[in-house]
Amino acid sequence: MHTSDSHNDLPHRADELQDAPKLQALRSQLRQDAPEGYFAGFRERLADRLEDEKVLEQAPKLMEIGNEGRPEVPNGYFEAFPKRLMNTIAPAPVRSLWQRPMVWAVAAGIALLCAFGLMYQPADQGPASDAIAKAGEVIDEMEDQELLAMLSLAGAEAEDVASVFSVEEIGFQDLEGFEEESDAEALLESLDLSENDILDLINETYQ
Amino acid sequence: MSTVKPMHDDTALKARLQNPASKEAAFGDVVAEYQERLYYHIRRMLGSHDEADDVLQNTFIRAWRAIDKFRGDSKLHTWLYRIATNEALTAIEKRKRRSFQDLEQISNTSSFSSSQDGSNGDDIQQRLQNAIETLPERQKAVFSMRYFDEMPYQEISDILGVTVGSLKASYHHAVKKIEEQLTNEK
Repeated sequence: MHTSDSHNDLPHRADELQDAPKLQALRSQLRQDAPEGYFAGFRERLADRLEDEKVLEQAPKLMEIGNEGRPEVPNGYFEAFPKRLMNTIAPAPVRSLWQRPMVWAVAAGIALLCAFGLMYQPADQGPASDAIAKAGEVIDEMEDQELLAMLSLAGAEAEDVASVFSVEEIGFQDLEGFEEESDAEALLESLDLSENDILDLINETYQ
Repeated sequence: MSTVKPMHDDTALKARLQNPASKEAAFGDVVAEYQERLYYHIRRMLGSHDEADDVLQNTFIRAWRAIDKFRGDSKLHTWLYRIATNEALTAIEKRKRRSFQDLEQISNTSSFSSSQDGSNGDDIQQRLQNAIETLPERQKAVFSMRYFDEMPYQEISDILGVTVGSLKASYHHAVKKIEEQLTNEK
């Protein structure tokens, strides 16, 4: 990359360094640090600078101030800028339905309902019942398709869910319910969450 | 007074920018690499931090949107400076249209710190900025790139689309005007 550059004419001949191979290798490495084309335009750039210097000699006050002063910037501005910018321009990661906190919580609520058979119990029996009641309210407002998608992600079949919820309540008119509690327990297991995890998720979402 | 600006070989960076898998991370590197230089270039043209911040963001947003079209025919550095300069000029035009070009306001919102140790460094830099504010807009850009960034005329020419001869004349005029401002002020 330096074949035509002027530094090849420098009076460093290989034989002068023959007894110092490490130095020769180092020199060779150092020479590779110059960007491509650097020497090709060096003379012109230097001529421009000299011309500028002549102009600046006529501007002693400007020379005195120099060119290294910088505008004041709020503390931490440059540290924070890249993240702020990337948040603006980078598309938000597409979160699957399953990743949405509400869906997690509702699914967890359903699983809880299924597993513990609390569907028709009054919601006045402590935090678990409260959470279930809240989940139930949300479920009432959900579109069937959303509920189906959520349950599918939870590894449950619509029929399984219909077995616990009344068919009318979730709107799957063509499904027939059954009452095997083991299916509900399997649904909870598929979520791989403890009861406390479920309650935490629900409370986190609806508090 | 001269500062040596390193020349960057951004071939690898360009390649990463063109690869969808690495594009976002590479662009983050571009931002980290160029944010300060572009900020100060923009700030010297506009004066206030808030405006400079807006324009810097717009610059990178435009760059991000156009990055797929950037094929590396020009240097990344030149390309970004071109966007930044155009964005700054646009911001100045908008400011003019809003009749907000009030030197007193600019003076109030501009504050400078100097890398020099002089006790009145802020004042000196403020005086310099005030003098720069008196230049025509494109001359500001030329002066900023040449005086502060020490950019080769050829590169400024590529950025602004003006001949090297015109740039030299413009820069020399700018230096003369600023010196006059600095001499005449109290």
